[in-house]
Amino acid sequence: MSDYVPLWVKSNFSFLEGASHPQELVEQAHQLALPAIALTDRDGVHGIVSAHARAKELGTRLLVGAEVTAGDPERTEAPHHRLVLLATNRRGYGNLCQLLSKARQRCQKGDALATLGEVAGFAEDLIVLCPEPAPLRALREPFGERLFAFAARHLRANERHDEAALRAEARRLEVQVAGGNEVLYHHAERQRLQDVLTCIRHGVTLDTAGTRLCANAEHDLKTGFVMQRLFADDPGALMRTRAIAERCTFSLGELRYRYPLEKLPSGTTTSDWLRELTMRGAAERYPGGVPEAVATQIHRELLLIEELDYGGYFLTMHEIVRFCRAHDILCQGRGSAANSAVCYCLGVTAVDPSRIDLLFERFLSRERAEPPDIDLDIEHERREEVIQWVYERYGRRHAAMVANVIRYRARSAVRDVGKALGLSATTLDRMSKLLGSRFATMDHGALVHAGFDGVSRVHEHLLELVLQIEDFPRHLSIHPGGFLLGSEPVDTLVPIEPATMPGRTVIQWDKYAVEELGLFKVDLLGLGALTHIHGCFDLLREHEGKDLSMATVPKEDAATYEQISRGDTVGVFQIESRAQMSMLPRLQPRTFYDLVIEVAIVRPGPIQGDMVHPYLQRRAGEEQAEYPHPCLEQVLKKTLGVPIFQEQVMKIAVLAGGYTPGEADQLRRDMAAWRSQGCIERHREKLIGRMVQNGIPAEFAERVFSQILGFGEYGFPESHAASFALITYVTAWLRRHHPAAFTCGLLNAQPMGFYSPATIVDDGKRHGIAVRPIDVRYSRWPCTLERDDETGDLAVRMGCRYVKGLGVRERDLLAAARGPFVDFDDFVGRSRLGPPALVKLAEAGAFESFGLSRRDALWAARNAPPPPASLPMSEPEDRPHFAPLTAAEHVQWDYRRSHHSTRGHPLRSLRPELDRLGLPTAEALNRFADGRRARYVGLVICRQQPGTASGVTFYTLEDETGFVNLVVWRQVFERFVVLARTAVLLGVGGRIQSEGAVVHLVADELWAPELAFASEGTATRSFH
Amino acid sequence: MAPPTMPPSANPRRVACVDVPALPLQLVLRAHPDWQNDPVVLVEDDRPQARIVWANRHARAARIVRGQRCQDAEALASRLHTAVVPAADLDRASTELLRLLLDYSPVVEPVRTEPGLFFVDANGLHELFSGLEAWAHALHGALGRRGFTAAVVVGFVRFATFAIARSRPGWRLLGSPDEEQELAAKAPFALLDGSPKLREQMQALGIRTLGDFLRLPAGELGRRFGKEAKELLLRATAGSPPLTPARLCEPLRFRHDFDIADADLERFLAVLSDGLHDAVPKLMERGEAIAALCVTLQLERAPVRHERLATAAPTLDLAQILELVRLRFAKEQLAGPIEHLAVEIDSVTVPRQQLALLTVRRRDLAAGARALARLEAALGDAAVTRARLVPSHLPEHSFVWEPTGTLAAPRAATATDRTAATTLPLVRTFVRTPEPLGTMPAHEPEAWLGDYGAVQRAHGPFRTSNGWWRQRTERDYFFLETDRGAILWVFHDRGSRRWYLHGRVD
Repeated sequence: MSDYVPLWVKSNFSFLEGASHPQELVEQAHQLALPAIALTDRDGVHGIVSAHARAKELGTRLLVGAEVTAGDPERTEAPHHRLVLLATNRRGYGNLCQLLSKARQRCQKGDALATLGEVAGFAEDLIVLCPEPAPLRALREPFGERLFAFAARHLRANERHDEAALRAEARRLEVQVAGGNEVLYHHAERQRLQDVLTCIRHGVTLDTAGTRLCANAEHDLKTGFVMQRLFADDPGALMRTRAIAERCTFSLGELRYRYPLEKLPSGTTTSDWLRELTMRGAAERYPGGVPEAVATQIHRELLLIEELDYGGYFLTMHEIVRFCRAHDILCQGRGSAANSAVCYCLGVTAVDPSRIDLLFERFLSRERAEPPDIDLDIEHERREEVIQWVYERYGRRHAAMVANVIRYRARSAVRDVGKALGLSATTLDRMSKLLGSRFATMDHGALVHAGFDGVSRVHEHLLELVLQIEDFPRHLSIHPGGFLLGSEPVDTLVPIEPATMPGRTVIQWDKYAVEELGLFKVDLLGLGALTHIHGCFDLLREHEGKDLSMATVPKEDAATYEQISRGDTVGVFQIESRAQMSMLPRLQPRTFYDLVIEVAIVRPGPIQGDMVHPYLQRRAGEEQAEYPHPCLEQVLKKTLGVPIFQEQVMKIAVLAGGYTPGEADQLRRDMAAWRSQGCIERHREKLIGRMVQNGIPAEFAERVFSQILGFGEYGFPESHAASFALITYVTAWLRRHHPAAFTCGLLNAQPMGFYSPATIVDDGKRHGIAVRPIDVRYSRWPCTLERDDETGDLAVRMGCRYVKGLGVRERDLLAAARGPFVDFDDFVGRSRLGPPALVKLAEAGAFESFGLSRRDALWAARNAPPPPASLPMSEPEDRPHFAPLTAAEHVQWDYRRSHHSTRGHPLRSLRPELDRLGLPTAEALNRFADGRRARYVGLVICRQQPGTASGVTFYTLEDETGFVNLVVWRQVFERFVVLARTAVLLGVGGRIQSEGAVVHLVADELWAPELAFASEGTATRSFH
Repeated sequence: MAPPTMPPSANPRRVACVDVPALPLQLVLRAHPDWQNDPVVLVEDDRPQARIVWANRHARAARIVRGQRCQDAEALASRLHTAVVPAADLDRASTELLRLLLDYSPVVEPVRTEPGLFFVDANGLHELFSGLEAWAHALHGALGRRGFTAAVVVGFVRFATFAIARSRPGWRLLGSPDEEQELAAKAPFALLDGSPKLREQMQALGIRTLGDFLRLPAGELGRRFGKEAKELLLRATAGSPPLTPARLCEPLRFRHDFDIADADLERFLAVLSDGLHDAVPKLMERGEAIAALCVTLQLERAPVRHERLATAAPTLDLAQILELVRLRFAKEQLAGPIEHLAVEIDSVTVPRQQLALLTVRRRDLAAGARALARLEAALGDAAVTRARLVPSHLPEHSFVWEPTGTLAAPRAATATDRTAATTLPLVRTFVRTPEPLGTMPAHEPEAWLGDYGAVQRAHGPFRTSNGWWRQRTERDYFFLETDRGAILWVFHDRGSRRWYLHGRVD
């Protein structure tokens, strides 16, 4: 083994500089038989966990460090220094993390700068390598013999001169010299990629990059032998690297983590207090007495929580939930927490464990010994309040959000690499779009299709480099809601840096790294459906005097299930998509558990595993439930022998594939990360082979594996489905029994869900709800409910928030000037809105109840700035006469200014013409017999191209009577591509496919109806 | 209050509007006739985010509209052609159109803000073309033959003819001011040259035609819809102000036939001087100065000689110009006596006060520039160049030669310069093209460098390995000290495995 240890090594987590993954560097060091390798990324430790995991697997020693940018923040023109810091022990690592946090906090996102004074301040237990002479003097005293001058050799022309200056200064200060090179890639072949990364970083092309590029390919990881030759004149410098490495004994495995403890009532332990709170909660949840099975489960869970010392985590979740409740913020625990009776009693989840047979072991198990995972869904408009409270409660040093590493995908890779190669931006844009639609990955065919010749040298480079750069980290983003909380300051564990979003700070690790190290993460996620439900509950309390909560909504309501089973679910959480709507009449949910299955079955996992049809057939009694192996009966009984949930697939791996719990857990992690790391494939042979060996049919084994890949796309465990199903049920119940409040709440929670406000309004109207237009005399900012004087029913009044172009300022002015307003002038005077806002309200028709047509109001609104409220308006003027709007124009104006119309559907005015052409309404078409040819014209409200549908595009078309489900096969789509992609009003010819209550129109032609239709303002939602 | 109308003319004079709509798009389609049946858009510049400024019929059929981003449009039409029309092309086309129109009328006013739109004085031309109808027809036909789609409307009031031209292609002769008023009032407002915002605002009020627009209360328009609406109203009701004719700025030319072919330089200069003296007042009237002289000499029994002499800066100083001519022609004998002299003056517009300014400063950069110009005149345009450093790892790419152009005063050295000066590499002489050194002999290495002597010491290697995206170069550079005291700068090309001499240390 050589005496050389590479100490200055940067991976691709030195964003847009290093050109190898951390794992590749570790693997190469292992292959070259180097005694150890350091990872010293620029101003961070982002990649250290990946390197640590791989080093642990290979038995390679990993030194932990970072290259720190140092300089004087006041002297921006002065050059910055690069210092390589290595942690000798845990305290040194903590100092490094704190130094990096300080350096990051001073700068904008992505940059860092530490002063030499700060470096000196955190010197304890750190070794510093200094490749430049200038900072040596300042570091001599604080670091003492832990300071080394670092002679980096890359065969550059001026290098000898620089090294001589460094050595001279080192001699003067009696500092020892160590040697090596600055490693930027594991193999010299990556020089090209490193050049391209440099170009991307500096925003230049290869032709203009000049000396920003490295002079040669000498930044690779070299063997000890090569380095010995390079340092033949000073072998001692090389040997010193090994001595340094021996002093660095720190490993990430030493990180010990303690969860922050809540202040406990005196004399109680964490366990006591958790038990106390749980029992109090249980008494509230089960006022008639805690069922024995639940009590047993609570007892068992508390024992395990105590044994694993996870009490603090549960108390934290309880505290966050308590904050939400105290501030009237609706929240609900999700994920495997739903399997826990303790979580239910603490109010973290709302799924009664006695209603559903879930395994607590999925949540927490002694064997797995990994932290519990609780996702807390919070109504989306108020999540930031909770996040800021967590920062405040635990302190900025004890709480920070988890990062999300943004990596290169084919599209971004083509754009950035092509730009560096100097290719036309327009062509690259075309290419990257093709990668999203026609081509899954970058290949020769995609190149040619995009208009490249595919043979010239530059195109070869593009192809090669795009493939190399895929999955490289590009920059750091922020996880949607993951928090890392620590009893010790988090910045001694991992550096904290500012995020782009004001008020947020983020750690340098993503959720995979956090999970790898077994750290506790709290996920605070925003969920629009909870905002919707909260809004509905408030409206019901205000207008009907009903006080409801998630737990008190009447359970197992037959009328609700009946409506769900008809597929009448616009706006119902999780089951409102076209695919779900088509599934509902087939599955006919009648119980809560049916909803759990419904939520989980229309997912990539079961679809890719071909599990959907077998389940439906068995449920309909058309097929017997069979089990591929007797050992699987227990696992698959609940779902009629068909694996639907992620837990079932893992259980199959254990029971039929002979996986150990550890292997099964690895499978689960690989499932979650396969897209980014591609490590699921290693399970293919192992799992299928073992299942076949155990007597499972090969075909079933293949399907299970396909399903695993599908779960990787979007893993869906039973516990998640159960949590979601509760929200599904509550929203469906509200829709069935309180449609006006449901519609009003949904409109106020926008943007969310599948449908545009226009569709929600029209759907409400089709269900008999009166929806009234925006009117400054009656409308508030949000949509509201009004009691109809005649019928006593509740009607929805559209709010001013739907006037496109009005914002927070207008909201506040309107709120301050509440009516009643006598006339237009009174409104203008009291609201103090300026002409731009008045014009928008005029266009929305909000002044019509003053007797002003939209055009008259528009003319008036453009007149001068608003006078002071106390002064009368100007003299009546000579108003010109404007042509009145037609009914169709009224609808068109509504759409243009507020994206919806309460006055009518855009197709209503075209109906006579459509009738004349013999074109049916949606209502009529949905009654057509199976196989009948039909032509239809409707508004495209939703366009979906799911990856699981082999190129089929699903449309939802709408007219004034309802929806039509349209299926467009790839060939038809290609033939009518412009229409298929862009039409707002679409004509279709095709054949009816009717199966029970599920009707589809399968298109064989698309056409543009030649009707006087204005598409302006109508919105289509496209999902890919 | 009665709405304003377009004023009828008491003594009707004829004016024509010539409109070549969407001129940039027409230029692109003229340059790419094979794109006629494809969707074509013009964009601001070559960026996916660039906005579309024009879209042809096929593009519009694919739902591509002006203002859309290029990247969005590409999703709508797979065969979409995108193009950028440089301002220079547009200027050239405008000049082409102007030249053509000047063949049909001496008074043509181009509308500067709207390339492709012209007003033409049509008075008195009927006699030349046997009637105005024939004139309009001929003009329209001429535009068509040049590949332009255009509208030609001959009427009485400028704005009215413009409105009518915008609303219908082809040519049209309006019989009376009343007919003109009637047709103009029906012109769609959306086709007039209002901004998209004003068009939208009017559309919202149901204002569909110019007539509708003119019926709005004039006093309220500016207050409610701003300056643009007010100005449009003023233009529409302003009658027909006199046209501001455009002139094509033809270069000044003069010629001289020598009665007896003459080879004497002084006499040639005297003739030239006379011509230039005559030209100077004309140039001053145009506010122009001489940037270059194009001299064509027809020689007896010798090929025609063309020379272009550029001045250091635009000038009317004839002594300076004649000195340049003298230098250029004194350098060598003419191939024969001069029979005919033709001179074309390249002139540029300059502020008048600039012509008068001849200040003398301590460091006279202008004099320096003149000296350079004289050198260029004497030795050729590329005679005076200077090296500019460019960042590159490859030595021969680390500087470029460029024309000296203008002279700048030297700047004082900065602290950075002084620091760099202490770390400058050795001063070395480059070999323009690396000289092959032959293979290093295994047995007698001292003979390898021939007259330079035997290698005593080598410093290196210093490696460059770069340029892979075009042609990879991999070189190991060494400094070689020989026993004869030479320090050579050589490299080993790792691709060809050959040695080259690239320079010497002085």
